[in-house]
Amino acid sequence: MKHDRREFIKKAGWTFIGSGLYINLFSAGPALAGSRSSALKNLYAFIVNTETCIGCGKCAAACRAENSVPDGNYRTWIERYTIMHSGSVEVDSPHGGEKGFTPLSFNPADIRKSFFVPKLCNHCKKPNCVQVCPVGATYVSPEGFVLVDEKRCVGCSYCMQACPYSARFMNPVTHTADKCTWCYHRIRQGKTTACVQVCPVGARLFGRVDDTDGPVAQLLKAKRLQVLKPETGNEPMVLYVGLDKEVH
Amino acid sequence: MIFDNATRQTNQNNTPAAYTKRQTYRTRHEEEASFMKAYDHIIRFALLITAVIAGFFIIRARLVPESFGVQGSYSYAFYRADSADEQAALPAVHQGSAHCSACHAPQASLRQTNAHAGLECETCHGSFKAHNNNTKERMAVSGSVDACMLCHAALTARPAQFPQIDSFSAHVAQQNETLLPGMTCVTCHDPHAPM
Ligand code: HEC
Ligand code: HEC
Ligand code: HEC
Ligand code: HEC
Repeated sequence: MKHDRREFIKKAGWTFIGSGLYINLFSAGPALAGSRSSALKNLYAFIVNTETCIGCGKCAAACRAENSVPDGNYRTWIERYTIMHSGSVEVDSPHGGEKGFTPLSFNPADIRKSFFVPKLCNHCKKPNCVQVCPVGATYVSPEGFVLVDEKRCVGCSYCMQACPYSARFMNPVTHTADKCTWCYHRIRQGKTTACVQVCPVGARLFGRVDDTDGPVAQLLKAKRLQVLKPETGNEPMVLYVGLDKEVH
Repeated sequence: MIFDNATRQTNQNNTPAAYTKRQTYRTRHEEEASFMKAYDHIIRFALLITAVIAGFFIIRARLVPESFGVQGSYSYAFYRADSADEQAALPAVHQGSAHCSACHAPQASLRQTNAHAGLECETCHGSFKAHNNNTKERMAVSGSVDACMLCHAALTARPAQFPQIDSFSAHVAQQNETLLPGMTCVTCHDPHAPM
């Protein structure tokens, strides 16, 4: 066997890389993971009832106040779908619906139906946005909330492109990705989300899926529910009552 | 050993003559040194690798924040665990109607058995924020027509069973009343007990 320097350095190099990987994967892993590690559960669900929503925009306004959302950005917003007899679909959302809606300008005879669809982050079970984050700044919390770590986020906006629901935006103040947190702070403090709290008609509901007496579990039993864009495979946890196929 | 040799070399001015001399005339000490010299490169390499590995861990420890790591799932929970707790500590801005009742008993009791019973105080008055004892910051009070029309204006998209009025003037006319200047919805309806 030939012993030359090149051969030696090669072998030493592989040994180095190998041992480095070993240390990284097996020894340092559990130490880094900390003691709070737990399996993901998706304990909560959000139910939006498009049959009762009156499009007053109080939810979007409350969200802005609760979470200091900068003007022009929305963590939650309301879309008005108008479906014509001709089959064409018109969607409008002036100021995200935050200041309410004005009457439609279409000829009433042409309108088949019209309804409001409040939207927010779907807190998916398999969120694309989380998978694409290159710095581990967005994650699924142990309770199933999809959150953004403002301190880690480098503002690459990759997650914004990955989200099929356009739920994310670039916060112009912090220059980090921002979105609905399902009012994580309020939930952890035993309250409900700001938008659910102020909704005058109960078109928004939030709660634990396993709480059999809770409003969410009741609706889960009583209603047939749908999610937005199921074909993307994100498995949203925001469920809709009265969703039409025209709604995306 | 390496240092030993190095010192010696400099001490001897490291001329070619001195070098040759060292090659030919060997003490036991030098015999040993030459043995070590054969492994010189390995020792240096080992030191280098140790330094690189140590450097890796030192830099890593500085770059990777505390509590960062896999919290159950590589795909969905590779994050800084403290971040969740930090967010949970944010103050809640909306306080809920129960909080208002303590100081505003009349409005709270009025509200209990009427059409607006399902409404939260903060839905109409805005978030509680710094409104506190003797109101450092006052709550928004808008008895304007627009404030009621935000919810009650007739819209095609609203559910049919929700009480809606086409316009203020039409509604007043419908009640066989005359629209007087300065009249708003709250002239006839108490916002806390409209019907
Ligand atoms: C700690 C007691 C306290 C609590 C709690 C409180 N308020 Fe008040 N509020 C006051 C006092 C005192 C005033 C009278 C201030 C004045 O007249 O200058 C006031 C005045 C108001 C006014 C009239 C403001 C104006 O400009 O005329 C509104 C509306 C109001 N409060 C709404 C609320 C709502 C809604 C809540 C719950 C989210 C609430 N308050 C909670 C003490 C309280
Ligand atoms: C439908 C919207 C609405 C809701 C819900 C509501 N308010 Fe009001 N509130 C008003 C309006 C409008 C006025 C102003 C009335 C006026 O100008 O005469 C007002 C006035 C007040 C005032 C000033 C004193 C007065 O009576 O004029 C207080 C205090 C107040 N509200 C407290 C509350 C509290 C407490 C709650 C929750 C229990 C509440 N409000 C819920 C609309 C609302
Ligand atoms: C945030 C939305 C909202 C605002 C703002 C609001 N209301 Fe209402 N109002 C409701 C809801 C919800 C009901 C209950 C509807 C139902 O029973 O289906 C209601 C019911 C009523 C009713 C009883 C209607 C009926 O047929 O039972 C009257 C009258 C009324 N509101 C007047 C007012 C007036 C006057 C104002 C302005 C001070 C106002 N509302 C502001 C949401 C609102
Ligand atoms: C001149 C007094 C007066 C004014 C001003 C007034 N209302 Fe009324 N409103 C009434 C009366 C009286 C009724 C009860 C009608 C009935 O019982 O059928 C009523 C009924 C209503 C209803 C229930 C109607 C229904 O069809 O279910 C709503 C909603 C309502 N008012 C909202 C408003 C709003 C919003 C405004 C301001 C834009 C307003 N009202 C201004 C006197 C008034």
